[in-house]
Amino acid sequence: MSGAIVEAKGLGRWYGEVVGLGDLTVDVEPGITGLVGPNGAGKSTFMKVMVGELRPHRGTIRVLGHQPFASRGLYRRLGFCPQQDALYEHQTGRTFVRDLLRLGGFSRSEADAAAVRAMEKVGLSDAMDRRVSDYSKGMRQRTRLAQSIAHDPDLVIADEPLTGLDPIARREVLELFQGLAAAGKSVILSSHVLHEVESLTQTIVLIHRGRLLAQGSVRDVRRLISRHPSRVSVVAREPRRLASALLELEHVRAVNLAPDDETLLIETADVASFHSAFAGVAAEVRAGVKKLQSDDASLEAVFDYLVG
Amino acid sequence: MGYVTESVRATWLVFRMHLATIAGSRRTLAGIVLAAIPPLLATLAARFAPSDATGGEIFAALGVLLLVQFVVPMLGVSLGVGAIADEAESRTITYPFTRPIPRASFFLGRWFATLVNVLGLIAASGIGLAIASSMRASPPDSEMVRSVLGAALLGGTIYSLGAAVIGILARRGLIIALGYAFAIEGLLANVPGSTQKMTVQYHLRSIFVEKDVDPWQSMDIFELSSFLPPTEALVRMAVVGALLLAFGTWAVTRKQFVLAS
Repeated sequence: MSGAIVEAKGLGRWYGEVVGLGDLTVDVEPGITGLVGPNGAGKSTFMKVMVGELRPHRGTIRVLGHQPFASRGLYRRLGFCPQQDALYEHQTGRTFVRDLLRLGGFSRSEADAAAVRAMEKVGLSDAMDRRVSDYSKGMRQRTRLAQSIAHDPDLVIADEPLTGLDPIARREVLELFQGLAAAGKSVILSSHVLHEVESLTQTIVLIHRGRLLAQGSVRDVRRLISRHPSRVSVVAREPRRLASALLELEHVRAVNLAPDDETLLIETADVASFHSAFAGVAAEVRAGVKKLQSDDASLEAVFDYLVG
Repeated sequence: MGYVTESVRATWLVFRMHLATIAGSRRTLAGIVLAAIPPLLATLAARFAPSDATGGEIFAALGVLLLVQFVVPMLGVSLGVGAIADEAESRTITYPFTRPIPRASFFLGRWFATLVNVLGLIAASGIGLAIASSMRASPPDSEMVRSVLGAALLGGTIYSLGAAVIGILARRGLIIALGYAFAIEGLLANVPGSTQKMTVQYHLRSIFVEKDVDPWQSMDIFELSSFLPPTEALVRMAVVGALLLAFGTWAVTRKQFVLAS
């Protein structure tokens, strides 16, 4: 038996003629995993299939060993933070979390204590007795998060959990996820804001148009996509002269001049050779290099290459 | 905890959590206005109707034409259809559906909470109607009030259950359920012939109409109808209710609610 917490094979899910998931095959290992892709990539559909809100039209999926749709066994071990901004508006944050815990089998006193703990963890202890209809967008997001962690699940699935949060709250939520991982829990979170995921985990699943594009660490993904060029940007006083010289290099695939008329965007098939050769070429043509920046380690760049 | 115990506990919890929500919903507030109409009209009739109209006749006419034939289906359908559909529409259904409870319990709990509101409004409306009608001479006797009110409560149960099931299955459940209750039933129930027997209204009338007794025998709409014995009508409605309940619990367990993000 594999140690994967999510095993998806050939998943397909459609909304009429619109493809939500095309043919997604992916195993997700324990720990923190970032599910990334542009808007409309199929991230939310995949999450809805993972939590059993939707059934796949094709393929199979197992989450923590369970087929997710309406699986009470899974829901004892799963916490889900949905993307949609929907709460029971007449309730306070605390009663919202408490009532959902009661549905999970907690006694009244256990549920109340766990709800208070969860609201504290998401930084809402001061506001937990206010009605959620009075909450800001960020507070509502944190309340949704609180209900997903309150019952101490083994796996938390969070759909765009950082959306609507201010920078401080964002950092607190990232720390919360790190804390969960440190306690041996697993977290799958989706985002289209890539640097947020990158700051939390090196394990990413890239999907686009309902299919898996790449999976692994940013470094692994880079290796997987070696056929794609690396991107380097150079700011120079004599960009045109530098561009001509760089195009002579065998591994340089393209050089584009940015609208500011001094930045070159260079794509190379071998970034190590490029850096070895660059200093000599720049000196030779007296390019007056002001700045050189490699996007090689940036998930954003990887993502741009993959889907751009 | 066994499955049955868990289901009962979950149903009770859902019922308790949602009772106040449903009572305070816009649907219920509209229902209060609707429920106030029969007593209001009875009050007006008691004051302004021709002097030969008795309290019993006012109660019978408004009880049949307004309470049982209009207010009951309207309340049952408009509140019942929201039992599950409102949760899907507000996109909060994700929360209970990712908890370790049987989905059927969620349906039952929500419907019971809806039913309490529906029956409360119908009872208030029926009792108000009886009180207002009693301001006239020859008020309705208690047997008549009991049977009309009983039929109205049964109708509220069946209509709300049917509408709740439609609300699970169809996106525009309210339109479909109202269409059934008023266009289809409204026609079939009032056209003489065996098609009457396919309607809820026919069975409700069978419970309270005694054709040989005033004021029923003077009402033209019953002239060509032959009704079932009350017990048989009750049993048939109970069977329909049980089937709807079973189908609703099955449907909610199978149904996927596609919610916008």
